Amino acid sequence: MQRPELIAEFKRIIGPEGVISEPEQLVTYESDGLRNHRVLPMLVVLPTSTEQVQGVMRLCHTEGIPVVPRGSGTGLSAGALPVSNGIVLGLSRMRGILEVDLENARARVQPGVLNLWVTERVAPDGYYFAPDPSSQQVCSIGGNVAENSGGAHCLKYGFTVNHVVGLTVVMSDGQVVKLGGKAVDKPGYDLVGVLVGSEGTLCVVTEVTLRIVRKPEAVSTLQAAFASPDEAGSAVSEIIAAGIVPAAIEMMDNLSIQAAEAAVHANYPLDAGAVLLVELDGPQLEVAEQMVLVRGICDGSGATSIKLAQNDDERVLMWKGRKSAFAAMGRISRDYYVQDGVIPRTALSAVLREIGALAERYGLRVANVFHAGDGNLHPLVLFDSTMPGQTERAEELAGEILHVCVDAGGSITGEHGVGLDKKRHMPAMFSHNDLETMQLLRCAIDPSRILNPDKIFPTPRLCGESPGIYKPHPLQQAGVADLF
Amino acid sequence: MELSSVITIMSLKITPYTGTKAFTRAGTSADRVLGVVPGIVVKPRSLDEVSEVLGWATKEGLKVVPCGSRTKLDRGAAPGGCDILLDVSSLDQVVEHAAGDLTVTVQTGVRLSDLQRQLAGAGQFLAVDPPVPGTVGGLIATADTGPRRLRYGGVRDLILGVTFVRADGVIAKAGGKVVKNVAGYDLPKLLTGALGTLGVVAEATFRLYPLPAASATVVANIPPNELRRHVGTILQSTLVPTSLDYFAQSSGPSTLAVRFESTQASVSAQAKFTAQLLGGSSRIVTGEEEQAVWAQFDGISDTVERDVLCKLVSTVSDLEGLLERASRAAREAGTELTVRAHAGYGHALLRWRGGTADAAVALVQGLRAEAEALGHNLIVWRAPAEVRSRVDVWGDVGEGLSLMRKVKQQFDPNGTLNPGRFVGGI
Repeated sequence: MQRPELIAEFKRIIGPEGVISEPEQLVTYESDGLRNHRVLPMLVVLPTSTEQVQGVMRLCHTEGIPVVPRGSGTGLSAGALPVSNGIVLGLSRMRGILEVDLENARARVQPGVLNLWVTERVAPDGYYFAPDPSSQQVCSIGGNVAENSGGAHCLKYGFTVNHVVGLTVVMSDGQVVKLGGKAVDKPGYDLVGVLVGSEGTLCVVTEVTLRIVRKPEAVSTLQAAFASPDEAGSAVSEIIAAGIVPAAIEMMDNLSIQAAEAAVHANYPLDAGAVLLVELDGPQLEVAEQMVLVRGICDGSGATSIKLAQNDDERVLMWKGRKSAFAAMGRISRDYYVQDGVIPRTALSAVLREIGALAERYGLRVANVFHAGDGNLHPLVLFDSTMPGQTERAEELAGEILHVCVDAGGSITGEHGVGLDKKRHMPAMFSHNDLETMQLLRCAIDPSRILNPDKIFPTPRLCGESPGIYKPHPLQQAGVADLF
Repeated sequence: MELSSVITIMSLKITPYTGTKAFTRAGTSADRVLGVVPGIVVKPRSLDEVSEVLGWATKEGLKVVPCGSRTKLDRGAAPGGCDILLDVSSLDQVVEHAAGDLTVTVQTGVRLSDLQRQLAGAGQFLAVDPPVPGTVGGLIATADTGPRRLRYGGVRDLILGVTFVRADGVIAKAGGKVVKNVAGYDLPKLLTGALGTLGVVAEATFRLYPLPAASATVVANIPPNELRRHVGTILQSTLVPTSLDYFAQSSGPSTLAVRFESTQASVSAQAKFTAQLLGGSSRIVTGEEEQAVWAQFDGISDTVERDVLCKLVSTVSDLEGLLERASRAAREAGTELTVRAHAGYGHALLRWRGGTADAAVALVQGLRAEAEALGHNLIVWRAPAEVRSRVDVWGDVGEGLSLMRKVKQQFDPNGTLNPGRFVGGI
């Protein structure tokens, strides 16, 4: 089928308003949150129901057209990067919260529902949705499911996969399958568990049954400044050793502090080598008792200042600095590259030293934002893309940082996914046999391999099909179309 | 192939690794798996030996049943053949307990009780409390959970990474050793609860939790028709129980037990508040008295010869209705029924005692029909052969079955591992 016929066919399935074919509109979809990778898709389709997704998949399956599913496009691993001869299947028009079942603590939602909407919907009843990626105001549940998104609070509450109990999925051949349900641990293979985090390479999710969580009786947040990340790190170790499971422990280094201060004035001490945010939640007495311990530990580890949030406003402000840390980098650097490595938390000091040495060698600055409780490190490589060669050097440095993480016993990604951006680093973590074994699943579930091809797994054949570094689109250069 | 030559070949294959032939022997009736006597029993002592045995078995078209301490070999349907009983209980090393990172990596032949004892030395534990003891491998294969699933999640939520041997002998790993990791497909979850039908997990990494400082349980006698109301009240409050269980027998009172494990002050306050909520007969127990309550509940899985033990997988809201129907049906059939429900997350174990096989089949099928009508499951855990032969132990597992078959086909195309034991005859 030729493109005009495909357009007509998609319009028949979805309706004319759900098919995007004009180049200037397609540009909106040429990248996700990682904008140095860009490819213009052949078409974008925006279905509104499971049946429409089924129709789209049947057609693509018959025609052998690659399909890249996409939520809000906030991903940071080029996981939703289009394929030039394929379509982008955008789920952003499927935005219904279909059911809230407080007795079973479940919410059934469509994939385009934004993460924060779930919490907003159930908050009046005293519930919330626990996974809280920093992009939660704009990222979609479908995207969270695809990436198995985390957030600051996953130390205690787990990741998206721990909060998804049921899925309705459309397979690459158009088959619709309901998996799991409101009950947990249903008999049979845990397909829900393995489809969450499969980065859109196995199926298209059209409905998600989520676990929602009762709001805790008390929440308490402490901000402590230290002379160096080493001291902050030893405080974290002692908190864990004391048998406390904080809701979150976040660490920011001096560069991150400066950026956050410049952007949102969160009242972080500018001269600190590191700031820790420790949040405890749960029953009032438990929180109170453990916060005394945490405070003592921070004191004992040489904290230069300690501040306990006295009310919600102060707590929100402490978090605002952290949650806007990525965006804030724009205040101190023209460009930055967000990395997402994981290390055993106890290896922090050694890894930070190695990152520091690498940064020096590359002549670039690296700011570190760290989910300190669970070892998820977000080094931000700062660079200036107008300086010749810096972009490439920054990417290379970011890659080396991942290898430091793997060597320390960690992972190349904690929550952003592998996507296209990090598939070349997969062999650092997994052997040929490991990767081949994972792909048995792909062969079982999407033998046609039309779903999000070229993601996650490094292709053994280097035949030049991988998309190159971004070059401005002619329409953009001519000033005809804007990005986003 | 003749059994004797299989044994000879296996011995030759194993010998270079172990320096002894003692680890391969003929199967006896004491080794039988749901009535099927294994041809040989092989006890590898290393990952490479597991790989050798499996690769060879698949090439020869032999059927393999993996096992650890054999406490759950009665789970699932009878295998459609068992040439080799692959006993991995010699893989029994705790590889690394990274206490500061709250993780542990273990070989799967390690007994859970031994592991917990070792972890307790560092004030930590693997937050599982399955009803039947056994090895870590058995825990992963069955994904069994107990009361604390309410607070800590299931085995799938705690497992971080695996090294496993595929049916063709290839050794592969997936996941990782850190708490947070999304690199690659999450095969550890796929293998959890797969009853050893996709591969033999040889090593696994789990996240751990600190042992709580204090514990107390509120016990209250409640009528069966008030279970749902009480459970709803507690779950929708800001209380954080680690267990919320219900125990009932055909005769005698039915009991709700709500456990709190946290700091001493928090445990006391939450227990007191809960006792007020439940009113009347409720009392707070700690120490030995508390352990005795939970030991009584755990007694559900102590079965005698002709008992039928089933697991009901349901939701908090549907549990009370299903249990009421089960108890009415048992009463009418004159069969003794004991129920232990994890009421806070909608699961229950039910044990029928003292009826005929006909009655047992009717009771299981009756309750299963009710459960499946609501989209839930009733799984037979233990039953006499004449009951097993007349009911599918798994029941209807829903629309996912065709996908599950495709997964099995890719991972074990020759049907080497546990053939026919899993859902839908997988």
